[in-house]
Formats: sequence, C-alpha cells, structure tokens
Amino acid sequence: MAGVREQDQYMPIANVIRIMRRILPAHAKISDDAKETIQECVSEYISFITAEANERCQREQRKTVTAEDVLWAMEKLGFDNYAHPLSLYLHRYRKTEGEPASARRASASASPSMQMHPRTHPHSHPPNYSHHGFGMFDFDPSSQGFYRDDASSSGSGGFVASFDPYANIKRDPL
Amino acid sequence: MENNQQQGAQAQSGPYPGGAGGSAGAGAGAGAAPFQHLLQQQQQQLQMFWSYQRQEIEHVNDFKNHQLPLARIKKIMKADEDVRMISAEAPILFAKACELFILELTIRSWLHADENKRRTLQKNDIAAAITRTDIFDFLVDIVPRDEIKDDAALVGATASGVPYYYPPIGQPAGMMIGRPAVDPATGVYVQPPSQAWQSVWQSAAEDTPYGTGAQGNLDGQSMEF
Repeated sequence: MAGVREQDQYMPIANVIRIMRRILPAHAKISDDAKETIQECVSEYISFITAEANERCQREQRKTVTAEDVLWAMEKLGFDNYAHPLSLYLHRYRKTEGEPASARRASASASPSMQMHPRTHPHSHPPNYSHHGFGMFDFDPSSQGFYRDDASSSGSGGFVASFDPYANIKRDPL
Repeated sequence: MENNQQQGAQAQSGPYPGGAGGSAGAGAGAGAAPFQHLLQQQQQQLQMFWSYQRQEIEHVNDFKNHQLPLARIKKIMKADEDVRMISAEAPILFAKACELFILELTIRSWLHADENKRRTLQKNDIAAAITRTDIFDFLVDIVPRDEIKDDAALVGATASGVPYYYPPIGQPAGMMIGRPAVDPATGVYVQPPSQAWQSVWQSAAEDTPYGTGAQGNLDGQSMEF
C-alpha cells in the first residue's frame, strides 16, 4: 500500500479544527494555511512515532505493533508528557472496555467523532456552538478558567460507560 | 486571586526555580521585569495544560467516540511499508495522543500569535512553535524555511542589542527531554525574538538573572546571536 490517496494522508480538517478551538480563546481565528499545516504535522507525528514503535517491534521479531510499542516510542522520542497520561488512558480503556469487545469496535471504526467535553465536563458555553475553550486565554488571570474546569472535572460523579451509540448522541445534541 | 494561582504554579515548578513573580495582570508593565513575568506566565500556561490533561484522562469514561477517526489513523500508520500488523489498541491510543499533540501545538502557536498582538493563528506561528520546542524537531521540514526566515529577520533587527533568552519556555522542553537534542550547527534551534519581545525587553531597564541548570542548551543557542 505504497500509494496512499491524498485525502487519506491527513486527519479530517473539521476534526482538527474542532480540537484546536478547544484550547483557543473565543476571539481567535485560524488561517487556512495554519489549518493545513496542523493537518500535516499530525500525520507526520503518527508516522514518526509509528516508525520508532515498529523498529522495536522488528528488533524483537514481532509482527504486530502494539499500544505498548507506541508508548515506548513516545518516551524514547522525548514525548514523556504524552506517554504518562496515555498510559493511564490505556489502562482505563482496558478496564472499562475489555479485550475481545474492543477488537470488534476498533475494526468497525465508523463511529462519529464527537467531543468528549460536553459529556464529561458540562460547561456554561457548549464548545460546539460558541467555539469557546476553557478560558485559558480569555481572562486576564488566564488560569482562572482553568481552575474552574479542574473543579468541575474533579466534581463529576459516576462514570456510566454506555454501550448504546444513540444514547451518546442523545446526550450531546448538536 | 492572581497571587494564589502564581503561588500554586510556583509550588508545582519546585524542581525548576522560576524567576521573580508577584506581578499582577497579564502583560501589565508593573515595573518588576514584565519580560520575565510574561515568560513565566507562558510556562505556567503550559504546565496547567498538562496538569489539566492528566486530570481529564483520569475521568474519561467514553472510549468509543474518538475525536479522530481510527481508520484514518490506521491508514497513516500503514503508509509505512515496514509496518505489518497493528493491534486494535494502537490507533485508539493514537487518537488520544494526536488530540494532545494538536492541543499542545495549537497552544504554543497561539502564544506566538499573542506575542505579536494578532488574533489570527498563522503558519509562521506554528513554525515558531516548532522551532522553540525540541520534541517538535521532526516537524521542521513541514514548515518551509521562509517561514522561519521571517522570524529570523527580527534577529537581525536585534543583532546590535544585547541578546536575551527564553529560559522559562526552555524548562518544559528540558523536562520533556532527558537527553540533549540540540544541534547548533543546523541553526534549527535559533529562537527568533518577536517585536513584542523586543519592545518589552527594551522597556525593562533591569537585568534579570537566569541561573537554572536546565537552561544549558538554551544558553548554547543564545551564543549564536
């Protein structure tokens, strides 16, 4: 599969912009060349980490690149800030999803990309509509909004892992 | 309010003693080294970003709806012909990793746009973020040289003046990388000053000491001016 189609080389730009907006202040604008540059950077990031993970895989004479290989590659390439929370993410994923079911769902990766924040952190301004981040740059004391988000995140109660995709859609009216 | 937050941030950055703090207001010229204060604020914002991400991941309860499509991630991984098989968990992990990557790159780029008093994130802001961050070295080929040269022109403007450093920004990079990755010969790690920095620095009459050991690489870079 050497010839990867052009549109398949990058992440969908709408998804990328949505993630960018989460961290930017409400009045921020993103130029078109900045959007495309971030798209290219993400693909380069995936290829960069994957190549390192695959090298380890081959050295140990294994055929399958695993999540552990990816985490190992991140630490080796200096992405310690990423490897630590992602290791926790992986552990929580395995605890809640379980091995066999995850294989099926992962292969059928047609689920719509929806933001997690509206569900886990109810916010006064829905990020989907107001393109409002977490106030990191909106206030003169920029950390003010951040601490509010921390409070709301720590205050969130039971985590119901719903297996019904429609329930997720209902909980997040677009 | 601001003081409490700064105290908390300073407590977090215990192993890396920050510069003088206590100034109120973002970018406000309170007279006590506003340049140092601005750098310190940027460092605090990045630290809070990572602290927040960790807390968020601790509470995530939905592993099925990803911000990025897994099939696309898998295709990009498989674009490397050497990659043979990929476990189901790897793209799921990458979906979260790329989310963090986009967020960090965006925030670092926005800091540069903010320095230049702009509200539109541009390609040269991303180029500046890439040149300022060691772990983003693999991205230098994506931003063309002229983007970096635009910032380099500002270096010439300040060549006659005394060179100044970016120690607080360097500290997160120092924390992220345990090994020296800076190659002064390539010139990639030259950190071009922006007009905002120039004006802020010129207005500050006092000298600010930078003495942390984690700035070894940055000191090496600054000598190139």
